[in-house]
Amino acid sequence: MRIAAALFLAVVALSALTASLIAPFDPLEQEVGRRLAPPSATHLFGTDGFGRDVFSRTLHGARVSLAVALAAVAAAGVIGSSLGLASGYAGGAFDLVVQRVVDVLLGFPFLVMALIVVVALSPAPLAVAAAIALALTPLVTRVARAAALSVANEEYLTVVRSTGAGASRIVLRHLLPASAPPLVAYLATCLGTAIGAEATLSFLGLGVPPPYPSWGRMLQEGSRAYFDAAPWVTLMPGAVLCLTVVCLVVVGDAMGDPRRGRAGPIRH
Amino acid sequence: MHDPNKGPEAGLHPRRPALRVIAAIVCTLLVAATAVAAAEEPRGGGTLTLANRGDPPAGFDSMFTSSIALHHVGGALFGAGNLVMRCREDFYTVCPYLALRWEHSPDFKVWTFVLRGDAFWHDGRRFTAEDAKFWFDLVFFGARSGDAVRPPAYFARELGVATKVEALDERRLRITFAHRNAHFPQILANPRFKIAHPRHLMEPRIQAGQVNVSPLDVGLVGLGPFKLGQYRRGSLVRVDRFDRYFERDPRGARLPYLDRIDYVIMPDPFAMDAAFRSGRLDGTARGQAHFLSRERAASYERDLGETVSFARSDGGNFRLAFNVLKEGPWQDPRVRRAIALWIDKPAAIPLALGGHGWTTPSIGPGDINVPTEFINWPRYDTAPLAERRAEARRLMAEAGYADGFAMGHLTRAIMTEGAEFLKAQLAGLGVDLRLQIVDEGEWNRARVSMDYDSQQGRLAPSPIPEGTESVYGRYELNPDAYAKHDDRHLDELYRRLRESVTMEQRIEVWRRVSRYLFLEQTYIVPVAESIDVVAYRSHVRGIVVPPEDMHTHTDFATVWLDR
Amino acid sequence: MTRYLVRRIALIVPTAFAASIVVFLVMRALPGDVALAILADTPHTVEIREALRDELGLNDPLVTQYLRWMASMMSGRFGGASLETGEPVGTIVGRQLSVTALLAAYTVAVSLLVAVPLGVAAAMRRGTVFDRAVQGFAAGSLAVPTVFASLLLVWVLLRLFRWSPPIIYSSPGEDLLEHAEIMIWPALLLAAAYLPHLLRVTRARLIDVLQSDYADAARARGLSELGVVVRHALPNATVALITVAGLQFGTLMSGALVVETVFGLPGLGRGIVHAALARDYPVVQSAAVVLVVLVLCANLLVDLAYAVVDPRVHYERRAS
Repeated sequence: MRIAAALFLAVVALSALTASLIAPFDPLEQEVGRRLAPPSATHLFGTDGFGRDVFSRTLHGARVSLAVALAAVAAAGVIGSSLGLASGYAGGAFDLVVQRVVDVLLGFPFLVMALIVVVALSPAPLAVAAAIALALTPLVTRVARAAALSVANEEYLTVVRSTGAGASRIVLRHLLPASAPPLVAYLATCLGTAIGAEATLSFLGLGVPPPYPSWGRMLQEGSRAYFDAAPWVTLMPGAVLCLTVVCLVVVGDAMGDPRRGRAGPIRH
Repeated sequence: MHDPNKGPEAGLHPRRPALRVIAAIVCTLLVAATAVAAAEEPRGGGTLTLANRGDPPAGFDSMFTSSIALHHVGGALFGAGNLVMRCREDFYTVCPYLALRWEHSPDFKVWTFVLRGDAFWHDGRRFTAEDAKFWFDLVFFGARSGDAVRPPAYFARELGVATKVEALDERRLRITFAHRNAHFPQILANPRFKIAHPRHLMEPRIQAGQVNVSPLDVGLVGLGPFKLGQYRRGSLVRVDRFDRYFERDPRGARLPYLDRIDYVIMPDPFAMDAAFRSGRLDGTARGQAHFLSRERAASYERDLGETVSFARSDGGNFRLAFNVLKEGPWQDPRVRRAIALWIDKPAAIPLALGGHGWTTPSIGPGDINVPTEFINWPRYDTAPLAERRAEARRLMAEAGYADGFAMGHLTRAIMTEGAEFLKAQLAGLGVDLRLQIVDEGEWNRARVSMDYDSQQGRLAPSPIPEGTESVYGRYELNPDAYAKHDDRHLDELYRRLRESVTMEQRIEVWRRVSRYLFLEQTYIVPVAESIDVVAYRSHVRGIVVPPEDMHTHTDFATVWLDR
Repeated sequence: MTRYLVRRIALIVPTAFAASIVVFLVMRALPGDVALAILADTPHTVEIREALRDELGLNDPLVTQYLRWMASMMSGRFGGASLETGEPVGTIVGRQLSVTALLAAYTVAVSLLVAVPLGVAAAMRRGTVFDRAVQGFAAGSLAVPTVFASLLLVWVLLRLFRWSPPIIYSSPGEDLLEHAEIMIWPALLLAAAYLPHLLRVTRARLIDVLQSDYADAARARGLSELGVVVRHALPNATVALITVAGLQFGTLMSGALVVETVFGLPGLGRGIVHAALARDYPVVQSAAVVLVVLVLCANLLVDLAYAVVDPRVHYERRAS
């Protein structure tokens, strides 16, 4: 199961990287004559309302969706983990301030915040990634802090501390490695969340701008105009998106704690 | 025009003026036949359930917004016309509404309307000439109280430059213009100009300083066939039969027939499709994303067969408009002309307009019911596409842009099909159309600003050419104009248009305007014209479907339910 | 404990203030102009636009605008009136929140009803096919974006049953049956996105506890497996559950926007996005502050829950 999931992710990642080589058609080329063709040998996933090849668009869409998700999670991961670990380890006023900021960010509905970021920066892949990163950062901070807290109370850290090791050394050499598994697992799940978030932003027309495809955009395009007449336009990229997220969750869980098969990002 | 027995492919294609006239005649006959046939005798009562695209904006104020979300509801609340209306049987003729008759001075500067005595506001007050004066004053001059200023209505210029509005007595209203205004009733007979402003409720508040008081602020008291029953924001506008409504049908029975209309606010077209197909709606919403594409209409038919019918109406114009006040290659008319020649216009219909449309723009004389031959867009460029494209390349090279250039394109985030189509088209000419995607908040600002290179601008067709100045005129006078230019020649042309006395003069001037805009200067590239399609269940009878502009012509007084 | 509590409650106020400043500034950073949105299609002169901006108070210095808004919040007028419609913001947010709060309550109820029993059962039969199926369900449910799921649900209901949910929202007071008929679908869709988090954490916590020494001790005292779960594991898992429930609040609100749009519910998710698109500053600002305060209170409750359930938590250390 885990291996299958990892394999699928590898295939998706590889096809995203090589999309321009392996895609059978230009993802942007419009052709009136072949509008809304059902899936066939030529057009594996059929064609959309502009006569564009859905399979090629899905491959290219993987590129955008994954890049946006990776960028968002990388940013949220770095900022969130640093803040969370520091907050958990240092405690005190620093912890209090960071956690209240996190409270505020968590209370602010993600979509409104994302909308504001995207509108303020004008819709572009980077703005979409920034918006999603902003939404994920408080979550990652909480998880990292919880992980740090659970490790910080363990006996051996007290021993390390008594040897006179500096705070940065303790955080980097002991706290970080010990908190890494749940964090990494959580970030893998976040990748899935980010891919979904791009779809939700596209719902407002504020995802990755057209005409270059992203999965979220493709879901949106096919659904309003011809979901019923040509379901493949929506279902094909939708299925790929969902499968990818499932695989990310499965792989994330496996990375989190392979020995005990423990699921769930949250521990306090 | 709405024939319940025909599928989406049938119905009216008002391609040519002549066709329109024939259509109008057929329509008249149909209505007449309907009135005579005993089996078709309208029945009273019942609730009509329609989808509405969203909450009507701007407090339902017809002087501030022309949103379809308002007009769909506004027809029931505020009536099918103002003092005058477009006739139900013949769209291109003016019929009495709140005025019984009217006359003009020999120089067409002074117009006197005689109002009917049996029109009432929904709260029971009689409608008088003072009420009409209050409305026209607001339209032409706005209002002022202390520092607060209410602007004139957005359509004030369309009606002409008035100097004075007077109530001569209870029933007579006189409007004086600064210029000849020979076609005033025809211009006025546009249901966009709804009377939603009761003097007895609004005047005290304006005097108290609340100059921008909206119809919603005073409880949506109108003169239309239905009065407000309930407004639940974000969910429902319910209107109930107004028993003292003045109109009667040809048999003398009181209108409206229906007891109630529920306008259900459905922002999501897909959810609307499901609700209609499962029988929860009698009619679909009007509005850009809600009008039915060919594919969606086919799904409706598959599910509902004989029990669904489609109303089709000449819709908006899909255009590419340049901001020539901004620095860029598009300031060269040859470049604009090249772009116009390059675009494969028929392809826009399936790709950008949902499959319903045609490529003869018909603003103007085509719409003013004169069966004269008129030079329309494709006849400017009758050559095959390949030849036109060769010419386009030549013009680009001549202008010094053989290698192309990049041009921004202001695009609303909620509808990008048109922009995607144009981008793909222009790529072949070397024009890199950079989509500048904006949300609704920014769109409201950017489109009246100088901050863009080009935009689309979808104009609902206007049955009168005078109405186009707000979108084709000079920027300084018309900030919302699609093409931003500072061409005083257009001021002159529109002035001549307004002052034309005979229909022939009017057509002549309009031809000039159109040729100048689309061909000589190409400030605007007409790409294609859409046809708006709305579905009704077949038991919905008596709907008046205008041959064009379903956007604002929303009359439900004569609708009845056959079930 | 009391001191900690007082301090935390006292902290809500400055935090809410800080949030209000952030929200205020962020809204003003957006391009666009509410005066232009209101004037809409009107060919207005600059004079008229400025008069309107004056009337709306948009020409005042930002500090003045902020203070005026805050004063209005404090005086119970809740930020004044919508710039777009003139309706008092309190009325708008109250009306929309009542819909969304119900939706959220149903979602949480459905999620708990499904997640807790499934999570417990999966933990007790760890490693079996059943456990794997539950985990697969959680992963799958997590993977389908609400946008896509809503679409599929509406489509499937229509194609299979030629049925669609009611289109006019009724409050439970008006028509309970209609209310249930329209709310069940969005609640299920939101639960589908929400419950996997609860399910996964329930299972994980239970496995932790069931493997712990004191679970063994309890078993040694002759407590049945179910007894161990009920007496020890579940209370322990509750804290984690509440934490996750709070963390995923944002997910819930974003999902609410989507389902409120698709199912035509006049809720806060749709309302706040609409207001943001219209640059209706007071509405967005006040609604956002309300949501932030709600989350702050929820977090306080979570921390209190820690104390009740897990006496090992030392407040003074955490807070000082």
